[in-house]
Amino acid sequence: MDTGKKHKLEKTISTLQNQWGTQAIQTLKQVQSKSFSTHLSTGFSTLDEAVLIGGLPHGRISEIIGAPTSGMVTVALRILANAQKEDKVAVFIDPSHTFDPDYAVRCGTILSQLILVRPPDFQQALVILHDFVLGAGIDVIVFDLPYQLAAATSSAHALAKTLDKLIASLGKTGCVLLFLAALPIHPASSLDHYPTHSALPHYASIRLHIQRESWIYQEHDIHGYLAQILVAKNKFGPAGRIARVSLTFAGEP
Amino acid sequence: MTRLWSNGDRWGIGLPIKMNTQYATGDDSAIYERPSLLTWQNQDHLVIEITKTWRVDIDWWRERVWRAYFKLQTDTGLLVIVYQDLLSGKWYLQRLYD
Amino acid sequence: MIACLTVPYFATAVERRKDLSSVEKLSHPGPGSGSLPGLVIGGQPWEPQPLYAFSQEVAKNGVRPGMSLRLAHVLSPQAEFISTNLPHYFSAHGEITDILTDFTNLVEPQKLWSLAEVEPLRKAKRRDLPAANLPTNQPAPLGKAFGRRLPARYTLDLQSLPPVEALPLAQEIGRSVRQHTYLSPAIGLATNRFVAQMAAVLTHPNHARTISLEDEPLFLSAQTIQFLPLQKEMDRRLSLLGIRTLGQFIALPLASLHSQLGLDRQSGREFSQLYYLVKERIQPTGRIGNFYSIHQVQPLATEKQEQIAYYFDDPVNNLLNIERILVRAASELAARLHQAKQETRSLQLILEIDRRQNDPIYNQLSRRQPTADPLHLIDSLRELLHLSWQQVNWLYKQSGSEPGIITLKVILTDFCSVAPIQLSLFEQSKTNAHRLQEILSNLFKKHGSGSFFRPAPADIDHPLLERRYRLLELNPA
Repeated sequence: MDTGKKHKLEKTISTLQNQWGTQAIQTLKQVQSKSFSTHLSTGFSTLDEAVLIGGLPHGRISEIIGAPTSGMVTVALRILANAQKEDKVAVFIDPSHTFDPDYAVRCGTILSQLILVRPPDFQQALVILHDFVLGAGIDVIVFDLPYQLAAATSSAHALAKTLDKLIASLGKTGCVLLFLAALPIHPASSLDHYPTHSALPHYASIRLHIQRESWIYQEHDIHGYLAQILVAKNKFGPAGRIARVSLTFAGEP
Repeated sequence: MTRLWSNGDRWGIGLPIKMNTQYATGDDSAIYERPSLLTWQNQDHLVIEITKTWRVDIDWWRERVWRAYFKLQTDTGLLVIVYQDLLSGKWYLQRLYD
Repeated sequence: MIACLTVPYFATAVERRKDLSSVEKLSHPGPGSGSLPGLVIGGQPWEPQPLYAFSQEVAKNGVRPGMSLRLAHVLSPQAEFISTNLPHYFSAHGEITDILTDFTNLVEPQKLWSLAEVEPLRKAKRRDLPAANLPTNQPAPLGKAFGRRLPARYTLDLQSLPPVEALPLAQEIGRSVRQHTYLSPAIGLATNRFVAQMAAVLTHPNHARTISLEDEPLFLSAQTIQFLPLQKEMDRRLSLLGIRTLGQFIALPLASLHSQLGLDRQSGREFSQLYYLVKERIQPTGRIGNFYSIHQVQPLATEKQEQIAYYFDDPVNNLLNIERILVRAASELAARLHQAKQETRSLQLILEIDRRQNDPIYNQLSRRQPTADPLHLIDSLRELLHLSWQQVNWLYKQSGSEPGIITLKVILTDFCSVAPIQLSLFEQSKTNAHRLQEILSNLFKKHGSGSFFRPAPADIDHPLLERRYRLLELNPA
């Protein structure tokens, strides 16, 4: 729509709203975003298929759960990279200060289009997250949630409160919010080890549990791994599907 | 990705960790110090495989950086890169594959 | 809140304002000044025509709107009779409108009644005419009681302002009107137009009265049915039935009123609206929904203008130079518009040429869409310039000399306020770098810039992992 027309329409609508109140007239887009979500492809075709809607939903909360060395962060970075292909602005919120730019580039992310947030504490991280969601203009936000934080009662409460506020604004701004929920380090970690009083499982529309299945060796060096991703919760279709992905470390040192 | 610990001053030097080591004979029949058990987050992680080792010795003319790197796999399922600062003998966790 | 500002006995107040010496001007000729002789406007007592306006003192003697001058003289023999000076009243009316538009653009001045509207009342002598409510061109029909004090009436929409804040604003508006025009306004405040106007009628000059939503039922039910636009016959029947107040009135079923009064379609609909408005206020049933107003306050088309003028010592005859000046003018004007949150629809370009005998060359352009964008303004001004330049050239070709401009004036008129963009109507454009910058700068203000980074390659093949990339702190610039 050209700007002139758009401007005219906005004018008309604001006049109508002046007269009848802001609820009187709503755009189709707003209604739509409530009834179904468009999606952001993850870049893994098997995973896209497994979640049925073809990727992560816009305007909803998604969650990837995985123990350390399960491939969780790799998958998240690939999703970011995939989003950036479509010229989207991505934010990575990194409360544990462990973002690795070197590896991010190997996963295909474009650093110049990435905003890395390293807040001083978790509270601030939540406030910044809230501001980013409200601000619109951001398409993908990845929030890295270390196990220690998710398990602590105080931060779990703070997170629950923030999520509650976020839900409504997310629906309006349509950004993809992806939480990376780490499981504790355990040889056979499963969803049973998930922090019990976290509110994320409740608010997330899609929960993916990623587990490493086997290493990919090249000569004697580990070169990557195969992982399986279980769709643990899916508000857009049946849960329980499994996708297998292979993750390689793309020529790391 | 990996997680990279780079907290520190100008260049992050990684996360200091406690490391138990043992000596082993290398391919060139010399004896090297090898990591055997690392302690991180109050948890012991037994090294079950060292998949790659390499050394870095640079900047010796001004501020020598001399490190022995190990990429290793633990019994708790971690794949990490650790290094020993050969000047001070301290161990650091630098990268966690995730 | 809707505020209704009335100046009771407007025409006579304006006439008296003329006579007052500058010292006395501030002491208003309010209800206390009973010593004044009455004033009737319309002509001399012997002239066979209706009066145009009268003062409060005369009203006390029983003079009513639409009466003949002769009758007014009988009722109030000591009153002074003067002829009508319409332009004078209209200019005073405009003065008040100007003051009100300083407060809000949602001002709806009610047009002053003219002589022609008074005339047929008497000539036709039709008893079934809408009973003597003077101005007939008002958007909503008003009852007789509204016109009794011959007021000038202005309705302001204070939008969502709560009553607590609306009252001080109304008082400020009243003060401002009094100070600049020496007239004494009465202000009524309510959540809808009808009640606000009633409140204004029932308020003393120089006072403001708020009728809150809770007080409305009580306030309304006690008022006379004369506030409704009743026709004479209907008025008579209702009074025969003993119905005097709105409270009694709404106790009657609407259907029977319709059949009793034989209303036509248009007036029937308006009447029903009014009926339900009153009914809903007095006996809330919740079924009718929010009947906040019968007719919204229409924003007044402002006649403000922005202008910029350049005077040249030596005549300018280079088209390129003039264009350059116009570009500068456009950006200056755009900045002013932006500051005032206004957009313009109409542009005028006036070129004065160095020969005195010629009128300035004047061209005007109306844009289809209002704008405050300097680029749009430049485009429009260019178009105007080329049009004007042809005329200049034509003029000079006739006289055979070189063209030269000594004055260039750009005037912008026909403003409207910038449409507030309240909701994101359309999907944001994909990488809205500007928007992102804005979000970031807000975040920087809130959290300090220490938390936001952009990773950048430093030495991507460095043997030490941590030296390959750096984190650049993002800063507001």
